[in-house]
Amino acid sequence: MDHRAGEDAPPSTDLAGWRRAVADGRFRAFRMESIVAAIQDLGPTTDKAVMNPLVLHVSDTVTHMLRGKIDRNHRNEGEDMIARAHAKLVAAMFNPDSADGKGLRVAFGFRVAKRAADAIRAETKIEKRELEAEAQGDGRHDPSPSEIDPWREINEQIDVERVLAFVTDDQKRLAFRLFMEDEPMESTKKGSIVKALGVSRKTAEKWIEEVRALLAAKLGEKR
Amino acid sequence: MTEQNRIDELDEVLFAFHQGCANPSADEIIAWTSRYPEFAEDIRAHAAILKDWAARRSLPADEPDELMLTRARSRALDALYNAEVAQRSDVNKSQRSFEQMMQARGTDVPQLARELGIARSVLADLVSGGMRAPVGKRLVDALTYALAVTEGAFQAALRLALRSPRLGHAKADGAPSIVARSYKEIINDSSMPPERQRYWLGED
Repeated sequence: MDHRAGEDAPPSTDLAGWRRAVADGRFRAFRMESIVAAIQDLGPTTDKAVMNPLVLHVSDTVTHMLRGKIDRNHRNEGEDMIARAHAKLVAAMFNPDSADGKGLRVAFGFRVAKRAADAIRAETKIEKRELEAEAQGDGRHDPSPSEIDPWREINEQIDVERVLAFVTDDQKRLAFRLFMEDEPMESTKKGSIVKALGVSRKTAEKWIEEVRALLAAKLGEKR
Repeated sequence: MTEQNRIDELDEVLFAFHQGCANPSADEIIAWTSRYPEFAEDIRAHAAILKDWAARRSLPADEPDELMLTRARSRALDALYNAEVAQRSDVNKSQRSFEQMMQARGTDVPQLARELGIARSVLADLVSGGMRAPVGKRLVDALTYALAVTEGAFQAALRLALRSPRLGHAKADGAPSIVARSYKEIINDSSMPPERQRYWLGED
């Protein structure tokens, strides 16, 4: 998440300094927060030879980050989600008073990640509704063993993640991940799965068992 | 709390949660949901997503293809263009016209003309976009002082007036139009006595 680099960027209002940085390509090594600050402070009407490369660099970086965070198991392989999140972020970048405009300037990676999470959450809600509406429909479905990478010895974790990606309920995935990290089910001394989820022990255990059974079935079938 | 305030606050809380908890533990989730019980459901949903990402951190990252990058670049340049248009429009809006400057000082063309000892028609031509740049130095100095504006603001108002001249009445043989004249022509054609004309032309 840290976009710091060794190079020191010119002050955000130093047009001549940014001209030099763009001309020799050094700007690619600057922190993304510095680049966003320059875009905002030099303003959209500044020298195009400076502004365009900076904007395109931000665009590429945001796209790489979103693709890395938004799975392909969503509708249209998540491409619509990426396009929407990207459009929101780049438009907001030119509005320094907006939440995203400020966020990109102070914590670029976290801001993009937060928007990616928002997009996943919104999409998951839609997908969950669709799944409920067409229980046996032709939309999203559980992965068949053939969809799972057969090279288990090198890709076991990928297999697990692929199966977990099909668990649309955030709460169930969260319960299972906390369980796998050896968090206690209940505890009076430290945090517990039950308390973190805000549900009864019975519900938490049921969720964990559901996910565990799905993993066992899907990974077991191919072995 | 309005719905928009709630959305803004939720956004701030979740942004801080992302910055503080890369892979939230049960303790961290409890701490955040206790602190913001009204957002507990959202915090847990984001916790699940953060833990998904943490679990996949050691796996090879998915990369966008060239088509996705190209489309994104196009969107980014569109956003830049829109911002540029919006900014230029804001600059135009922030420019004050001569009328607005006079209004701000509680004066108008006849009163200002009397105060400065200049023909009313000269000022009328200036404010209606009938006077080409450059405007004589004496008039610029007198008006920037009387209207308490900078020379930059004066020149911006002049450009604004020239861009949107106020048209006279249409003539029978053509559309209404205005032909801007030079400062010297306007002074010379005014009804001022010769010595006042020479004064405003800086020839005294």
